[in-house]
Amino acid sequence: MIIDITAVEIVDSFIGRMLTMIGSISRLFDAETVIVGMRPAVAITLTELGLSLSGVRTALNAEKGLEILNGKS
Amino acid sequence: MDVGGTSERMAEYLRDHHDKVVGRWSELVTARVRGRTSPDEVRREVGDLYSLIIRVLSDADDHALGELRAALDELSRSRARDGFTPSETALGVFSLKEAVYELVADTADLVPEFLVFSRLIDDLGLRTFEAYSAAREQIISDQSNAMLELSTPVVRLWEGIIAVPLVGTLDSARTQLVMEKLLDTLVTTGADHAVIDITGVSTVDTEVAQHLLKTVSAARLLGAECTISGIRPQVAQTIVSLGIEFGDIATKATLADALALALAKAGMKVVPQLWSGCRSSRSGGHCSSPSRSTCKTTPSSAFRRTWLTSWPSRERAG
Amino acid sequence: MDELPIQSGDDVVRVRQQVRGAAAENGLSLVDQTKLVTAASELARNTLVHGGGGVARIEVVKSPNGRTGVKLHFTDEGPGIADVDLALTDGWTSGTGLGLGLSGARRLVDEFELNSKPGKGTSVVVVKWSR
Repeated sequence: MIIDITAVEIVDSFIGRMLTMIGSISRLFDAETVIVGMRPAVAITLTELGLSLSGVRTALNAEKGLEILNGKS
Repeated sequence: MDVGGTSERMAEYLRDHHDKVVGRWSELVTARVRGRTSPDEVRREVGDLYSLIIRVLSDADDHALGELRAALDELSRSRARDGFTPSETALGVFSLKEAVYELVADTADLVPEFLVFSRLIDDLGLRTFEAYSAAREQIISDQSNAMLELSTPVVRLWEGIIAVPLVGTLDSARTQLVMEKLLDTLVTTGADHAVIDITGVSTVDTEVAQHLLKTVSAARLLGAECTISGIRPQVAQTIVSLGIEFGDIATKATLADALALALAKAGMKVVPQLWSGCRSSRSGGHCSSPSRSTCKTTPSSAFRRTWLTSWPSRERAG
Repeated sequence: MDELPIQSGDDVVRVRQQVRGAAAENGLSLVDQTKLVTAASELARNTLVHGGGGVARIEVVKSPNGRTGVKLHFTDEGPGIADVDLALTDGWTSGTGLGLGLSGARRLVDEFELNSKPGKGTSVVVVKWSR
């Protein structure tokens, strides 16, 4: 499953938790989740917040996200 | 002391002697300016300030003081830009006191008024000093920002591989800029790999290591993997002794090694190119020799070899 | 100075929008805007969830050397925080979640002041300066 957050301007700890949860739930269904399109400002803010989004794969865009899901990476 | 009344009386006095005082004040300022500003320009500036000062003294409206301050700040800034020292600008303001004093010196009854007036002018003069130093600080801040920008390039090493050579110190301000530029470049180039070279980073302590870790974390959120290169032996020692853990981040001694690693991760390999310039019919246009010098079939090289071995009887090779 | 109520999730969104506007208008870079709005989001949510609702104030301030900044003030009359130091250490949580709200928000801003007493409510003031 690809979650495209290109349009998301703010990711706080609440939303971060939500994304991690989606990742865990999807794994229960034996599906992988990849979050794509994170904006640089959001990435920098998340890093500063200390949110690692562990357990969720990330990719630059949907294309690369699909590569991951298809096992190329 | 009736301060309000005092100021008003002063304001009235100034109004009545407008031309004389403004004229004298302009004269004094023009003498100081030494030709850097034209007398007419000085007269105009001085005249504007004079009107504002009268308004403030007569407490005409609430905006007068604000306007006067703004006018002075602008004057200080432009003087600073034109290369005047802050003292020169301040003395220009203080000259008004001189100009007024010359007139009131003979009359004994304006002493309290003059004192209050003098205090106001002192404040204004000091204000020009503050405005000057604020302007200089702004220039310095702009320059150091420009320097920061220039010293943080992000270069494309290969398809999908970018490099960030860091030189100098790595403090939090620099780290912010590095992260921003690195991430923006990742987005525009679509690179999968970033090599952060710290050969030029003077000291690597726990703080610097944290900055690096943050940068790598941020890049990973954009799907890029990072390698840290340029770890000199002394630096490696420091890192180990400080107990810094780079965890699962790859580290390499040189940028070259890091590039090789990145290329390998991208599924590419660097191999020497086989020499294909052999024109001999015997080899059929192909040569198994890896380089020109070891080719045995090209006429010119064969000739050279035979010529050398069979000298002086120079026989041409077949 | 703008004053906004925080009584619902929608109010948190409104706070975000207003803070974003104030940050953009006052010369904060894109990254700084994002950081401030994210911090505001954290703090507003805290006010709502842990403080039982409260108020957010947005103010534009000037530093002595002329820089402009945005100051945010979050107050609530909730139960308060018993151990402020504990709340500000990384990873501490009072309920479900990562608990990175307060310490995380602190890292995103330039100035951070927290005042809280059990039973007396909580007040958080943060400032982010333009560069």
